[in-house]
Amino acid sequence: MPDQATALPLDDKVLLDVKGVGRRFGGLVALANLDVAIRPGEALGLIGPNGAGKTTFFNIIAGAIPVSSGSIHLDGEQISGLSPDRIAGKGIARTFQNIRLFDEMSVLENVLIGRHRFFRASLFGLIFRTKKAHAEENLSKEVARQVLERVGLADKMAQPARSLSYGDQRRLEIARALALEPKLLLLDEPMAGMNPTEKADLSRLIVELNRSGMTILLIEHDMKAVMGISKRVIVLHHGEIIADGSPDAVRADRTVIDAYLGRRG
Amino acid sequence: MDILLQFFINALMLGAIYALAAVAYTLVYGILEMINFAFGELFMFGAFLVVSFMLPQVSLFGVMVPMPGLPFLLAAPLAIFIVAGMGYLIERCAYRPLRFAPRLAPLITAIAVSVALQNLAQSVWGAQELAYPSFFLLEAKPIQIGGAYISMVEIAVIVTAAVVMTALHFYVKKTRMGRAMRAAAQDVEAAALMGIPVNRVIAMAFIIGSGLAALAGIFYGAVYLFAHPHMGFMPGLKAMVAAVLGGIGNIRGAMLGGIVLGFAETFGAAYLPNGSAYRDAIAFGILILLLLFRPQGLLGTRLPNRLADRGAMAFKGSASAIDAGLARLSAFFAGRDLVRYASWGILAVVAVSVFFIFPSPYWARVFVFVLIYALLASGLNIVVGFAGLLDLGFVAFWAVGSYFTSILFVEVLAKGYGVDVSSVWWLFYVNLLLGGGLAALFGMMLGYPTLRLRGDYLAIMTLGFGEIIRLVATNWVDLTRGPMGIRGIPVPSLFGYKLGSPVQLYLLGLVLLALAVFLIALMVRSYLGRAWVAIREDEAAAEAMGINTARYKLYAYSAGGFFGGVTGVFFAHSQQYISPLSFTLFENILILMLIVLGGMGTLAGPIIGAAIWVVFLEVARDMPFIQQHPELRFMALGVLLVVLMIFRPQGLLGQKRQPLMMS
Ligand SMILES: Nc1ncnc2c1ncn2[C@@H]1O[C@H](COP(=O)(O)OP(=O)(O)OP(=O)(O)O)[C@@H](O)[C@H]1O
Ligand SMILES: [Mg+2]
Repeated sequence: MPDQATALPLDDKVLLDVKGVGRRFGGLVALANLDVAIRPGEALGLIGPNGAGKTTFFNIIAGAIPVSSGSIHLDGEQISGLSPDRIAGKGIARTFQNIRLFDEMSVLENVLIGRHRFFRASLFGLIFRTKKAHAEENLSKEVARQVLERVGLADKMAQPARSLSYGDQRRLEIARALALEPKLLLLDEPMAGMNPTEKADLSRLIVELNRSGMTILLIEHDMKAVMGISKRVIVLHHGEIIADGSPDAVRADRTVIDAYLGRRG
Repeated sequence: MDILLQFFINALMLGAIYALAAVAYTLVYGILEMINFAFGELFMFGAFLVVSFMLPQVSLFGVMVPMPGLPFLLAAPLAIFIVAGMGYLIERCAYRPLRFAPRLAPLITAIAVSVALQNLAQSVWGAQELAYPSFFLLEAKPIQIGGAYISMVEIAVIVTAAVVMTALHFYVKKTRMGRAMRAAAQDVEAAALMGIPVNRVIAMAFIIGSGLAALAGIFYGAVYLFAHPHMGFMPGLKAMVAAVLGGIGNIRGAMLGGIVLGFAETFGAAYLPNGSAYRDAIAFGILILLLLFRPQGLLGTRLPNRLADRGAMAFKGSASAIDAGLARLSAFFAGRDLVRYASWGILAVVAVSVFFIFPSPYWARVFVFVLIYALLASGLNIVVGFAGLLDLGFVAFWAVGSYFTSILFVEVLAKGYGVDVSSVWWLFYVNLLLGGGLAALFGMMLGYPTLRLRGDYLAIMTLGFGEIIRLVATNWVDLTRGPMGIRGIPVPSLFGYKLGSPVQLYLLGLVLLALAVFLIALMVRSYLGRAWVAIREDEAAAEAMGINTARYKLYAYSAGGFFGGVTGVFFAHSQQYISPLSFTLFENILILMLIVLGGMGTLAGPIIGAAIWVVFLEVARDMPFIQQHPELRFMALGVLLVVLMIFRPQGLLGQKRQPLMMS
């Protein structure tokens, strides 16, 4: 089990290398010169008060908004500057803080969209329904079914996404991202709005995914959940990293406590 | 020098009229981010009302009605007042219920309102021009400056426009309501949170905008001395272009845009080679260049469509009992292929049996038109219904297919080389593919510059393309025979056996339609169709899942274009005559409405919409009141669509979702 992520030597392979990344919105510095190295197999927690820049960081990694400065490499290959679809094609999948499903498509079809990068059939293949075209469609359907099984939505496959409950919609977003078979999974507050049982289920799922080797970057306000899932936690505040270490170390860190207290007090 | 001065004065006058109407578009867009296509029609109502009030009697619905014969200075404010009220009502009844609907809904509604108003005017005032009565501005002697003449009307237009604009400027700057308007234009939601009465602000924007449009129409009529149901169409589009040119949402920008457009058009028509023929194309050319290189406009800072994360056409259901029942019913049938095949089977049986019960060749011909519209609607449905891209230039593809085959057969083979066209009967079938392919290529080319644009901007850009193609077809006489059209296109034949009778054409068209639907189904039920629908539902999420949205939009344009082109070839050979009159924006809007009528994003919707409409068109022809006022049918369609958009956006038949997977 690669559950000793933080214990890996520092010169070990880096999956996602964020170097000096900054992002401004007009006068606002949303991210200031961030350096983060994510190692393969890690489950990294990203926390911070509201408006700290967490979602912006995701948007930057996924290419939804361009960096103002710095660079990002995935497996040694530069991805900053690429379009979101290219980045997804390289194996980074994300979920959205405010759920963004394809409402009118069925649950299964939503997940199949996550499989998009695996489709190769030409127009000819589609029109003549060649064996190859059928085979890849069936393979993807099979994978999609498995993924839905895994998040517990297998019995709702034919429903339109919009008809799902809130918690199910969050799970569907995760399923859609998983279907992409990502090297790196970005989860933006996946537990927001869930009840305790749902949260526990989802925590278990995330841990399982990580155990099976998937690298995960998790934004979550629920401290207990983050601490349970991640061996390493980064704290963002006003676009800067103010702490980076084990959950216990972060919890005891003075600047972190101040940041949160300052926010609330 | 004199002539230059004269042009200068004309340009300023025209620019002032455009500017007035452009401000109307920009006021509303600034707040709602919606293009109210109906301003062009309100412009026309302004002119009609003022003329009606000034005359001693007017024929309304064909009945002579005595009128007050008011002086212009009373008639004009009264007309403006009434049109402003119309604007208010339209906002209240048609647009407000859709304020939070998916972004295509208000756009389609605006187009439908526009169609309804135009046809209402035509029923009321008739299809002929209503001449402006003479009044003091027209009777006054023109003033001579240098060698140029400037009439009193022109002076009045320029001065009034300047005064109104200045007043508006201060209104927006200084009054409470004006400031609220600016706040709402910044951010409607934030404004609402801060206690600004957003509904009243929006109503006010519509009232002022409609009043300005009416004023512009009154002047336009006074300058050209007529009122006509279609008079608002071109100026309305151009004012919209002017608003975009200045930077949509920016009031001073709209003024500037109007003036710039007035000058570009006047001087372009005078000095560009063949400029006067392409006068109307100048505005659209500017529009396309602008959207390519500076979409935010001259003074604008805002990029098109902040609301892009709203889905294009999701039908978040109103949870009525009927809907719940229907949902349960469709859940029951969901996935039961049998039912689906059965309904297609029934449709096919109906289609074939119609052929046996044709009471006359006349009805067979009507049904050929059903097929042509069904084909066009099915093609456009790929772009609008599946990919969620509003395309108002689709008729261009139809035109490309039609002209391609007609020019090849008539101009090149028959006239150019003296070939006996019946010896190359097979070429028709080849041309179906070639014409489709050529149109698909056009689709790619026209689609490419629009990739960065969404929603409304996309609509007007494609509209610009469509108009340009039509203007080329009208004016490139050497190639297309211009407005006279091309005659003598051979009917389709098979091994020398002519398929010229209406019933034979119907059968041929039926085969084409079946093939088209089959092909579309194969495309849609695969990762291709899924990518289209994903783009329609949420473009950003689609991108995040690895879909190259630009590429799939181009695929949609070219697939749609292909079927448009194929239809064009069939159309040309079945009618044996084509002219630019077939390929108008109105036709495009009609096709769009048929899709909405039947159900967007479904396979059967466009066919059913086309069948209902074309048959209704014929049946209603014999109804007593409609016989005198055939336009009322189009008005009814416009009204019906507005109602549909509000209460039943999934279309008349409200089909189940289209499955998007291979079975
Ligand atoms: N597209 C944008 N344009 C302008 N400002 C933005 C944009 N996106 C984010 N911001 C600003 O950047 C800052 C960081 O926002 P971000 O959404 O990344 O915070 P967050 O840490 O995800 O907060 P939360 O916990 O509330 O989700 C905020 O001040 C936000 O207002
Ligand atoms: Mg966030």
